[in-house]
Amino acid sequence: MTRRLFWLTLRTRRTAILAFSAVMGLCALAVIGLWPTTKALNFAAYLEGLPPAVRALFLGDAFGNVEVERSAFFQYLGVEYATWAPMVMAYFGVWFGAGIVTRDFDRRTLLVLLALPVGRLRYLSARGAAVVVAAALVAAFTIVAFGVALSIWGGGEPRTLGDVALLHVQLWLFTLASGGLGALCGALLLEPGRAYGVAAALLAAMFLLSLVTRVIAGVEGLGYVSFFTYWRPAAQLVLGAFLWRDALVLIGVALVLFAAALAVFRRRDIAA
Amino acid sequence: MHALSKSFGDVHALRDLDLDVRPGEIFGFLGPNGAGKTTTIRLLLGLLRPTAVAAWILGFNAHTQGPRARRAVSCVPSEDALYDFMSVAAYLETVAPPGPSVQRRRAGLLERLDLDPDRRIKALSQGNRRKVALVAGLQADTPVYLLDEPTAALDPLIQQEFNRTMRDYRAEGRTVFMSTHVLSEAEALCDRVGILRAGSLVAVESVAELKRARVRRLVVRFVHPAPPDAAFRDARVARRNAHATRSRSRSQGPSTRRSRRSRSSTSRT
Repeated sequence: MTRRLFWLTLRTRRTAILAFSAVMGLCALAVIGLWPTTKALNFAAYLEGLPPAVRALFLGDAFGNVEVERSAFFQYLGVEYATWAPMVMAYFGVWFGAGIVTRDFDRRTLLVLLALPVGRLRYLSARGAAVVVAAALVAAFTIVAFGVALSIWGGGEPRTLGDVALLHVQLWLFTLASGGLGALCGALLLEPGRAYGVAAALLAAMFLLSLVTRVIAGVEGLGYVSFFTYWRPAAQLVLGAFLWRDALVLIGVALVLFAAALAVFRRRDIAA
Repeated sequence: MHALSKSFGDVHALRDLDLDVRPGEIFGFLGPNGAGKTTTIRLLLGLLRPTAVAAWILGFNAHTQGPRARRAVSCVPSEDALYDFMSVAAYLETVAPPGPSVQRRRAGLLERLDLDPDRRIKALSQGNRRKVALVAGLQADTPVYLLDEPTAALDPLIQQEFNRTMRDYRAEGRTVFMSTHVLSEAEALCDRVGILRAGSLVAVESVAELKRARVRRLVVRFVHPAPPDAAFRDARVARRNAHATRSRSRSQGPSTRRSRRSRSSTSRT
């Protein structure tokens, strides 16, 4: 039964998984495809001209540690991936995570599924496993698109596909943390619209917080509550460094949020 | 169920429900909309947490031993909760509980209820959607069936087929707990009924007792002044609202006991 629920979840979301994969893939193609034009505009000089706080926002520590001329392409990618990629994947995570309970609640199929001899732990585990796999599928498709684009427009650049893959592992973990937040909101609120809205608002607040805490001195500590603080693509792309601490934090956040969603869901009345 | 209660905030949906359903009987749970029938079934399925005490299904606590209790139970909810994008066959397979005889039972039910398994659910009429929900619930090989207003939207022929199916299930020794607000349906199918009103169980009796105690409302129009009260007592009239030329009365007993004292009357039962 658990396996059937898992496949049912993937099946009911297959269009969305394809759509998000296509969006991420097209964005990767577009970003890398625009590099020759951007390079001509002297992107490196543009980065050097940015205020230090804004530069730190885009690139973190990566900017100051390597020679600009050699790594301009990956700095460009780091800037691009710092903004749109987590936005798209956060939305995907929230939407998928919140939907694991609320969509069945909304169409009343939750009554039918929970009337079967399936505990709520197994129900949510099967649905949660589908979130993990769906996010991995989107990330994998993006890696393929990224690789294709690199082979066309990124010739001669030193970084390998290994860095690209590790970057997307981080993105996958970021998506799972967002999915956990969505799942918790879904278990608390049960209604899809409200759950999506609250989870998306929380993520938007986190994004703003990550901006503010990097620009304003003295409030850096607040930034640690934002998921976006743990998404630093430039480190992987420019320095080739996989940020284990950030990865572990994102895994921990995802696990804690899914566990909290389960604890709430087990106590919920399925009344409507 | 023993002293089963459920409140939603200040609203008492169910109060101190004491009820034993015997193995192998069809038990009708009668009551108007909002009486607490669906709440009771959801408590039995572990979808709601009881405010007080609990319910047991074949010895398993419906709340604390939910999955084990639900292994003995199959359910038809009052809503047609279906995946519209699936075919009938795919949906029935998706929600089928494990069991070796499920496919054979499903095929039999599809034939009895005249339902095409290859059709898409979103293309089905309301009645056919109800049939899908019925087959989904009845395909399981379980000793207990919980049916929440199962025959809503079914045409009379299919209702008869449903009744026959339920009698077959009873003959096999299965227990059916069925909520309805249609008295005639309960009379036609059930062995015993429980009557629920505003969250409280007001009576549990056999269908024969129910028919005998059936209340009839008569509107009797007298051309001449109404007879004295004693005459109404003789006719087992329980309550009378006297009026100069019009009397509304409520009588108890078989329909043959209608008052014949009016010389010219219109009546309604």
